Amino acid sequence: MSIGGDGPSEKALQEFLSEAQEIVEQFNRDLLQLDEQRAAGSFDPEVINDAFRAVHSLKGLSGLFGVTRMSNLSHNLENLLDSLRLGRVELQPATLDLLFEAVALFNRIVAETAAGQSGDDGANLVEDLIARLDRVALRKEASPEASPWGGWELDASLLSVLTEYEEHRLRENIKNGRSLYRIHAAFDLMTIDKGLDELKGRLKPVGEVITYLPSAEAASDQQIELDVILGAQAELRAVQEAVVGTGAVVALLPRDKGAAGAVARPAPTVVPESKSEAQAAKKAEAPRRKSDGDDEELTLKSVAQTVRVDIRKLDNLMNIVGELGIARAGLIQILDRIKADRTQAKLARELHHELRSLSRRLDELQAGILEVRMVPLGQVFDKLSRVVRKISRDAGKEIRLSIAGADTELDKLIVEELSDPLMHVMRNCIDHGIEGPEVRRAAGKPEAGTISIRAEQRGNHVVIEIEDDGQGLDEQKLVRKAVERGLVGAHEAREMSRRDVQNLMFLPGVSTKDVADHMSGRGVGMDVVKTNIARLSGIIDVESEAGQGTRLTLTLPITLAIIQALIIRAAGRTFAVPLNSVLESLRVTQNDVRTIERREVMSLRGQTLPLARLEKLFRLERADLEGVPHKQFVVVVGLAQHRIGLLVDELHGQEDIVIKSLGRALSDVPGIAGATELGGKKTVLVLDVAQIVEEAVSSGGAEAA
Amino acid sequence: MRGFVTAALESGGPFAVTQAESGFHALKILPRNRYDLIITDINMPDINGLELVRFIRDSETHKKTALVIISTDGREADRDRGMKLGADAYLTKPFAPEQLLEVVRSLLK
Repeated sequence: MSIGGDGPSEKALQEFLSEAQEIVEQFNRDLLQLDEQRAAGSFDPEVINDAFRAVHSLKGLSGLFGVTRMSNLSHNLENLLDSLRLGRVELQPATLDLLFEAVALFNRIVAETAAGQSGDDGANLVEDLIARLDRVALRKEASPEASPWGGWELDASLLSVLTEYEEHRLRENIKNGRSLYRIHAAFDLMTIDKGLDELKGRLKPVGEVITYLPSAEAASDQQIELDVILGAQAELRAVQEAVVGTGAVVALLPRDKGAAGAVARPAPTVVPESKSEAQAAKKAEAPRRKSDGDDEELTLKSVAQTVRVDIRKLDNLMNIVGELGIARAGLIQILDRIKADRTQAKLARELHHELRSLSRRLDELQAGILEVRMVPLGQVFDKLSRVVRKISRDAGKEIRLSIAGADTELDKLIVEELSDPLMHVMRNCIDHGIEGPEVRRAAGKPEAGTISIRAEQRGNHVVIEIEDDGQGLDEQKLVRKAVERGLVGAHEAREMSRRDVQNLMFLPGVSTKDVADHMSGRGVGMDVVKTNIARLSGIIDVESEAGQGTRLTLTLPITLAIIQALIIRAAGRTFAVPLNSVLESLRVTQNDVRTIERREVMSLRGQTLPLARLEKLFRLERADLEGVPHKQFVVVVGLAQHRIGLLVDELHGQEDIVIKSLGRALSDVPGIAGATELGGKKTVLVLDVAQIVEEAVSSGGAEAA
Repeated sequence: MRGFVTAALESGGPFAVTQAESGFHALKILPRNRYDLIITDINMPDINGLELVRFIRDSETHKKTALVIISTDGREADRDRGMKLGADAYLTKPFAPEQLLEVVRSLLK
């Protein structure tokens, strides 16, 4: 799937704009909340702090992308908001209006940057606004806060970890006559997020959380203890009631003796009632007031929004595209009929023209939906490197992991499903492939083993190679095990090619270790990996050289949603074979087909390829007059490490198909994955190559039926 | 910031980078893992960087781990507190990837 004609910098810029716009929207929401609080006469310090954070992120982001106007504006805005949150400047209605102006200007810059305009007049507006922001910021340089702690005994260890802002909030709470509480809570590491959210939610209506103090002494790899410092108007009892059931313990911070009465009365000028229930409810709704200003249209326009979508909705769209494709095929057949009528030549030309443009759009639509589903493999690789570090530490082996092609994209579903099999492969490499440090040193290898993962797109497939520089497979042992377990006959084993021998590692219960040690023996064999890859219509292959290492090659389709199929005919019926499991197809005559041990086989480049006849698999009657044609085709299909040839009568070319599941009556038929509609309302069965191959392999031949 | 730091580290050498999305997240993963170097911003919601520095310095596993704090221009007081609590180096925003790598390399030596 190509990303389109745009270069990477263009894509990065789009992502930046989308993120910037999200931040500006958050900033706007903060301002709207403040605007509502304006009437009440007191502002929620947390919202001011949120606004500060939003602008702070915007500054960093725009600086990174060199959008100078935006970074200049956010830099100056940040200064003002910093002064506001630290109480150096008081928030006035006029100041709030300036901030709303900034939102409009940010949106304008985003829109202009997206359109590739330099926006010179915009630059003037930025300078003008910056000048006005500066005036506000300078207007009231408040005297530095140097008041004592209002009678509260705050130990140095608490004060030493407060940021300037938190210290300011502490002073503000004291100034407003609130009481300070220390709430001690312990959290299990597994559930800390939930526990903290719960505690935060309980405390918010009671007061202001000034900071969280984690305690390292009490930390283990099981739990964490922390103290919450809370400023609240409420009595101790009310705070205790708020956290009842969470296991948290509330204590009032100690006060200097004799100073207790000094701050008992709240200062009458400030009424910090912003946390009242009524306001909290209003805040939750956060109605989106349209901001004033003539750039209204620009502020509401989206440039590149990011949306989270349930993957099933995309599946659904894909199905619709598939159905449109069927309709297109139907139209093409109608066109052919019209073409046959000489008198309708003009009509035929016009229809042909329209159909071509429809086809192009349809292809684009399909490609577009597929692209939306694509995510980079890096998502899995990141997880893998963590796992490798852990496993190698446990195994006492030093492993170097090198990753290439992390930006290769695959369908989201496939990427998700890949993480387990890849993890098993890593475990297998480290446990069985790479030798211990002593053995490696003796073999003249570097002590640290290397596992390299390479991913790349090849046409409609993504190929992932995993290579280690370990000891390679012990082929004799593989054969012995397979024979012992009755998976292959002794005679058969002697005739096996090296490649077939190495592929024995994918059979259940075949492990190169005689005794399952603490690492292996967890039921994660390579057979599980093979099954998982096969489920994704993927193929896995192994190549190994004794003493030098092992390479696994995973070939996966880029997407599962819509597939290309080879349309074939056998015994008078049409079938679709998923193209991603077709390796090649060739023309054969009956003379090429030999029978060995009651199995039909043919020789393909010196290797024996087992053959299967669809009519035998599905017990179809061949119409007598037709008989078996002398010339047939063999479609070579592969699944995981197995390959078989399907003997068919005709090849009808490739088509995009959407697989539909069959009704319950047919769902049990082995070898059928579903049905699909071809043009002309013809329904054909889609072969389940995985099952057919399994069947052929496990029954020792396709003609068991 | 996190993305920027990660990208800078990954471009500058064979570093395996683990990201924590918040101070809480850091608390969650720190006790179970070992790192050669920890980088934290000071300005974070909930658990701030200073609290994290103290937590790290007080913990058995990480008391000796190299520790870099990131502060903002104009927040010298915060930065000084961080260094006092035991951070090994600081960076002031905005900084270039090379500056970060220089600090990291010198600490990992």
